[in-house]
Amino acid sequence: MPQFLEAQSDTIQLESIEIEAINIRSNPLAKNQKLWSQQALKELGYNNLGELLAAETGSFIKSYGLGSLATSSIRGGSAGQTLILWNGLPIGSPMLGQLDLSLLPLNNSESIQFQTGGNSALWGSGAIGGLVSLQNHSDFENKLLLDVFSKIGSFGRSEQNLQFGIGNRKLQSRSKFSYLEAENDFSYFVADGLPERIQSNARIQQRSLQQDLYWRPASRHQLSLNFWTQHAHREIPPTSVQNRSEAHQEDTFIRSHLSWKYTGRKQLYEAKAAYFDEHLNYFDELILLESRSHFKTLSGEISGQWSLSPSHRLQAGSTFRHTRAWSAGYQSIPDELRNAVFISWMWQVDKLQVQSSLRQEMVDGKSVPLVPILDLTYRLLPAWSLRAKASRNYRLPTFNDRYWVPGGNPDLLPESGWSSEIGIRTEKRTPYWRLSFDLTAFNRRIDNWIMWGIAEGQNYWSANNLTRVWSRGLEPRFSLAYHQNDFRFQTQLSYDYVLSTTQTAVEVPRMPLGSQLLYTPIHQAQARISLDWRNLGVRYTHLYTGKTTGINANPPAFQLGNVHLQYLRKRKSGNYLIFFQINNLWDVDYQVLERRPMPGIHYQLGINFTLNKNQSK
Amino acid sequence: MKQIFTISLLLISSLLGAQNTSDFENFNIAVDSFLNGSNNQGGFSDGFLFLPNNYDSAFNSWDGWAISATTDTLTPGFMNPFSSITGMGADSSNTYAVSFKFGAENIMRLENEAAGKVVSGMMITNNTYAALSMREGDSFAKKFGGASGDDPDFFLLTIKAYRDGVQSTDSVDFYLADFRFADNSEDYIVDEWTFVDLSSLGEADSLGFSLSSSDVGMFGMNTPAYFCIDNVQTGDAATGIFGNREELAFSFYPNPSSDVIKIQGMEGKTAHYSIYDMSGREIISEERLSFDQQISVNNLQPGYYLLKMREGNKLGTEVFIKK
Repeated sequence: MPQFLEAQSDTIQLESIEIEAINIRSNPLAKNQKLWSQQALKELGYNNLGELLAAETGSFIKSYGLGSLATSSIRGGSAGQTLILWNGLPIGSPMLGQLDLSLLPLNNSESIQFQTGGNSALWGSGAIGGLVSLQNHSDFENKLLLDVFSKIGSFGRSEQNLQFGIGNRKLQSRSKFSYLEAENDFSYFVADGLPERIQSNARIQQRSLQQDLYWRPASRHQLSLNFWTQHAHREIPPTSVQNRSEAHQEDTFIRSHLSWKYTGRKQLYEAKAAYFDEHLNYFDELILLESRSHFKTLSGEISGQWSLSPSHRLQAGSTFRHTRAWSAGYQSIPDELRNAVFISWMWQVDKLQVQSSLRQEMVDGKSVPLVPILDLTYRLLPAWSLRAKASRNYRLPTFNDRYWVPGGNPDLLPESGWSSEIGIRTEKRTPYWRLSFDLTAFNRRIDNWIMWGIAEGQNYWSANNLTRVWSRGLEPRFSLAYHQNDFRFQTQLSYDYVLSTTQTAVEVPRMPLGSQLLYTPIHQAQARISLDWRNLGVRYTHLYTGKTTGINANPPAFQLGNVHLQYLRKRKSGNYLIFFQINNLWDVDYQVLERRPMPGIHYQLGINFTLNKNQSK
Repeated sequence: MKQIFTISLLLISSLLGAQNTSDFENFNIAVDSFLNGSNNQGGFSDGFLFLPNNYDSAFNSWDGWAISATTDTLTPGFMNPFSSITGMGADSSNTYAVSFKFGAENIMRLENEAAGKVVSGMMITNNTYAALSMREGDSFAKKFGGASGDDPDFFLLTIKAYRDGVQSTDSVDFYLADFRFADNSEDYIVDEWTFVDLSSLGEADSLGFSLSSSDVGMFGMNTPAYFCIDNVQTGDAATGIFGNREELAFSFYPNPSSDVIKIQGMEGKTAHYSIYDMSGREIISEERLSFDQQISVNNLQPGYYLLKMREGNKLGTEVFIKK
């Protein structure tokens, strides 16, 4: 079961993930992270990255409804303070500064990594609350692969995924197709005593194609080409206090990524280039609105890593990103050039591991704050480890923040501030039992927090560096597992306590000094029990989300239960997986955002078979 | 007695004066066009009115007042901000004015002969964007009544008068939409030009218009902050006590009266009356004239009063004495 892939370094089962030489920056030994293989993601049964993060990570996902926009708030941060990488390069929209997590499929990635905490010194702008890294990996042992994965669910949901891989020890190709559609016409109650209302104009259709090519011209050299194109047609449903909507949105992109990697005995050199061409077009025929936006980004990175001694590793690199954007909301065709240099150093001796990084970025020739990270882990006792991390982090204003007419503000400063965290972990293992407990406390202050509001004397919304936000919290995690022969039992408990408050009062939106940020629950908890016997597994997950402060009303706390039943047969020649999921088992009427209804009990059935043929020995 | 009556006439003259109506037709704009201040003149003059406009040429946005002859009563949303919900001006005219001011009072200045005089009233109606937003809801604002239809929503226009920078103690409230009735069938969104009597505000050199709504969130009011006006009746030089070109003729008896006064000339008409004391204070705010054409005055203190009668946008005023 995928739960065994969770968290800590020494418990990660990387399954088929290839690890050649580990890049310090994507170090799987890092703290507070989760890593899911493609197989684990299939078994979890989630439909997109938003659902995965909501249920598995303690992140709060602002979901506008089933199939609708979903953005993240990690450790009380904003959506733009989650950095999303694809093969090491950021893919967030430079116009919006965020990605719609509901449109990110899970089946295109060989692995997905999630990490909380500030990592700007490693990855640059936006890595404040957390980091999600979608990764593609080569498998030169594969000769032939066929993977068919179908899901059908309530509200007209149907998703088909097909992967085909072929290759030898020099050349590998993997093609991934997916198609999904859903009506999302669920019913919901608007008030006691009133008839149910059926969600309308909520249909989604999404097509995705990814082609990965890997070539090893020599034993230490590898070239990779990843090409990903996707189109989503999505209708925008009305709110619960709106009679109808005819709005729809078309998200289309082409993302291509070319990289070269040299893996020496003591060196690792990489060069990457990526080109993204993305359109987001919004139409509302009812109000005669047509809003088209488009950007092109060319980005790249070169880096070198050297093992100076068995205990020292050093990495240095440079990145660039040039973006040009078109929108009727802009009066010009703005562009932006970002260049950065970074250096990372890792020292590992006996019980102590130290990782330190420094990054300096220039945006259109202007320096942004120099950002460092210092990260320490100390093994106090064989079963106890302590860790501490301090970092400075930042987020650059988006194109919309700077250029939108009206309200864009070219003089905005980047959000920036310091984060720190300390943690303790203990783990006890016996031949049958494994028990772990982890507690992290974090503290973060971000200055020049960018918000849109209406300033006095203005007749339009504008972006301003409005406030300073202090976020702090506790993240206890507990896990107990028992494993004997064909039987496995596991229970997990996690709790997230997050205070994320304004340090200066804000007029519009009206936020007094010290108030919790909008749509940021103070309390979130998850409990899970799973049982596996031979090929059969059952899992129950219970999620609690505390009340939040909303724009128009305060969404109350809610609790959701999800059940997952599965049959999994793993063979060398391939896997067979069938699962059935009941979501919102208790048929709870709830809203994550007020006026945005969510579905009651609903179901999903998934069937996957994988045929593998490896290279002959 | 003669002296008091003379004072009364002067007071009527002062309160109501002769009327000048600003109907915005002089702008001569074509049907389905508008003026949003993009000429950067800072506002619009019509008759003795000045309607300020704040146009931001960098962002092509405006607030304050616009002059409009757009007719779209069907298209919801912010792409249709200039239309009245009737699709025309008052009395089927072409042109009217649109107010848009978010989170602040929108000011109308009275100039020249109208400055310092009483504004009798004006025709007001909803703007299409606001009306359809309240009727249907949109992605920002709620449908009035809410999902159940029972929410006690309202969209209220409050009008105040200023003289020499001092606000009059009175204000006039006009509900552009009112869903606070226990019986939902009485809920309404104003969709006709409606006369709003402002004479109770007294003498003014400017009027302030502010909007409030039950649909308010952390970003302020969600209901679109628009409404439309037309046929603003300002006072000008006293060319005659009843110089109103749309004067309403009526008479009544007995005068003086201790109990009821009986109105003549209003039979079969829908008329409204209000009563002021000699200091201009409104004693009885506008009420519909009853079917028996009688007004009870037995609760009034003995003294001189003004009886103001309105039918549509015709006005007439008479003095009576309570014994």
